[in-house]
Amino acid sequence: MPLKTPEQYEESLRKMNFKVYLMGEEVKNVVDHPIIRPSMNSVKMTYTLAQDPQHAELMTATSSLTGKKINRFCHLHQSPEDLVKKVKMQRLMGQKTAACFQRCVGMDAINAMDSTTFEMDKKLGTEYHKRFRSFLLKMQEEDWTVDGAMTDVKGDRGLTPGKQADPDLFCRIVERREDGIVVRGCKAHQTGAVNSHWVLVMPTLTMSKEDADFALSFVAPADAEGIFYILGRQSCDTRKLEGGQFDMGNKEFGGHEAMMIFDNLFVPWENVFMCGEYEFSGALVERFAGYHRQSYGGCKVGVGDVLIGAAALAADYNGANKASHVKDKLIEMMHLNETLYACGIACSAEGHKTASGNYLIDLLLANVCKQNVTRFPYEIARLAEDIAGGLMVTMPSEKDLRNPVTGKYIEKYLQGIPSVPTEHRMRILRLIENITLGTAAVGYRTESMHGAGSPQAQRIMISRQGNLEQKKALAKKIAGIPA
Amino acid sequence: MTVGIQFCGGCNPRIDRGQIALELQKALVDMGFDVVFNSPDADFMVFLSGCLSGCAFKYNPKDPPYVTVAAATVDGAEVPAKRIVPEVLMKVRKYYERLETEIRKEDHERRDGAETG
Ligand SMILES: Cc1cc2nc3c(=O)[nH]c(=O)nc-3n(C[C@H](O)[C@H](O)[C@H](O)COP(=O)(O)OP(=O)(O)OC[C@H]3O[C@@H](n4cnc5c(N)ncnc54)[C@H](O)[C@@H]3O)c2cc1C
Ligand code: SF4
Repeated sequence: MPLKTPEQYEESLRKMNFKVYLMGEEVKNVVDHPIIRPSMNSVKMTYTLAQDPQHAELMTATSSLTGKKINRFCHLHQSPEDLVKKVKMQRLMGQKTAACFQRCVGMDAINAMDSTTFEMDKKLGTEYHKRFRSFLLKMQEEDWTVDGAMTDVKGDRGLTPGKQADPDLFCRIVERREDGIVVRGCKAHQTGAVNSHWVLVMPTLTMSKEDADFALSFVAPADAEGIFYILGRQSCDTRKLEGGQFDMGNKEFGGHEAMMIFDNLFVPWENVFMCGEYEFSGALVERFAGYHRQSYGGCKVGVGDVLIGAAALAADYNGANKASHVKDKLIEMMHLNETLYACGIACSAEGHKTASGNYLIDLLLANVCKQNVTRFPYEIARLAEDIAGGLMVTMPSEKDLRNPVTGKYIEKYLQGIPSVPTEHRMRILRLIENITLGTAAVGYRTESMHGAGSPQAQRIMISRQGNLEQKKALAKKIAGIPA
Repeated sequence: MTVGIQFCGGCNPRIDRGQIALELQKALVDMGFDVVFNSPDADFMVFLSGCLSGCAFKYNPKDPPYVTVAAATVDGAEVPAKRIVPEVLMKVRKYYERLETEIRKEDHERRDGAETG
């Protein structure tokens, strides 16, 4: 079944046996929990659009393993065109959900794993690539959503993994057995964890010889015995418990992140893809981060499209749309948004073939892309708040609008231009609040900052890849200085 | 004759591809053609892209004769959005007429050949 229907996806999650805690309680029905459900809807959209002839060109691909039509989220990129289509697909998904749709992390992880395990086997004579490909085949056949789990909790940032007061602050191998390994640790910020069928774990940073036990990669069913989750809060999350139609800003879609705890998880050897080969940890981290930094040149742009549209509507609704500074601010927002997109497309178009056959983005341009992502969504959000006016944070609730006593005053006093119902104005302001300060701001703002690595991580890559010596040589030549 | 309509992925469309496809489908069926979507198994293709990147055309086989729509352009020429469907229909009709003429000509030639031979 290489393409699951959205209904089959939801059904497949219902059959899983997740152990999940949220706000101090164990969640028995993850799929229908009102705080989690919108995030499931976002992932479900990746299945819905793959069935839609109007989007199949981007949402599906031909598997390089089987020749079958598969969801692009399960695909190994086979060309620069595939990399470009990935970014376009992510923009589309951002537009349709105005939220984080979570499935990219797994896609980026499989693409990084493919080339890294291939190179490991070639150099070390291991069989990681074979194992990985056999997992990937199943992932494509079953159209699984896979969580890409890289970030460790990391404890004292000034110390290496092995020097931490508690060794479990980085995921590690605690036991090597004949039939597999036992793992302990915690991955932080796991996007879409409980909407996933499997988790693909990777090391969080380049490991040294002393830290070989932390150079670890494997897959496990997301509901395996020995894994449990503590869901993160998002600002305004409990608005989803209030019922109503629009105070949550985006009723249907959202994202989630969770702590993923491995409590002596047993992993059979066939699911282990790195076990102490520290010298390949750097390549894996760098490639995964590179793909993920490219991803943000698509998904954040799609959410930006919605935010820009919402800001423009807010101006239409309050009658400020003809003011030249408002028009100029909308132009600036579009300029910033399309600059991010240009970076996503550029690093894709300049992609190259790896030894295993899949395509890797241009790492310098992908890092430039993400560095811009750490800034531009903040500026776009600032401009949206400027255009929206203070009402986006001082407006009474939907319940007050529905209340027979207060409702008529809200209708009367919060109207903008008379031809637009007050409720429409309130809806748009709530959407702007949601993306800039509410649940979706987790993805649009702070994830733009830290997701796929904090800003300094990109600057290190830019300095490494920037070819400064060649630039000096160019200047010397022009200035007539001998080489 | 079967006309294929190939969509792009629709990440940033400047035109309503769904509506255009619907109108095309209806008109083509009325004209007596069969219509298939996203399949190269056709006698004539309409590559329907949302913007000027033209992904429907760029990423698909171009075996049968075709017309391209990319944003408000038809075969590269700008047209008002309302004119897209009529322009495409005209191109399909022209191709069909050319085809008919050629078939008729071939029939004639075959008949002439049979008479002289
Ligand atoms: C919404 C969201 C979703 C995410 N989704 C995923 C996911 O699905 N999978 C996944 O694996 N990860 C995910 N991440 C994690 C992301 O990759 C990390 O947030 C990022 O790598 C930064 O790590 P941190 O959050 O621990 O920040 P910290 O390490 O606490 O960084 C805080 C600051 O300290 C600085 N710093 C940290 N260590 C050092 C050091 N040694 N030297 C100098 N400066 C240092 C950083 O540069 C930064 O400025 C997600 C993050 C967010 C916010
Ligand atoms: S043609 Fe334009 S809208 Fe369609 S997939 Fe390509 S870039 Fe997106």
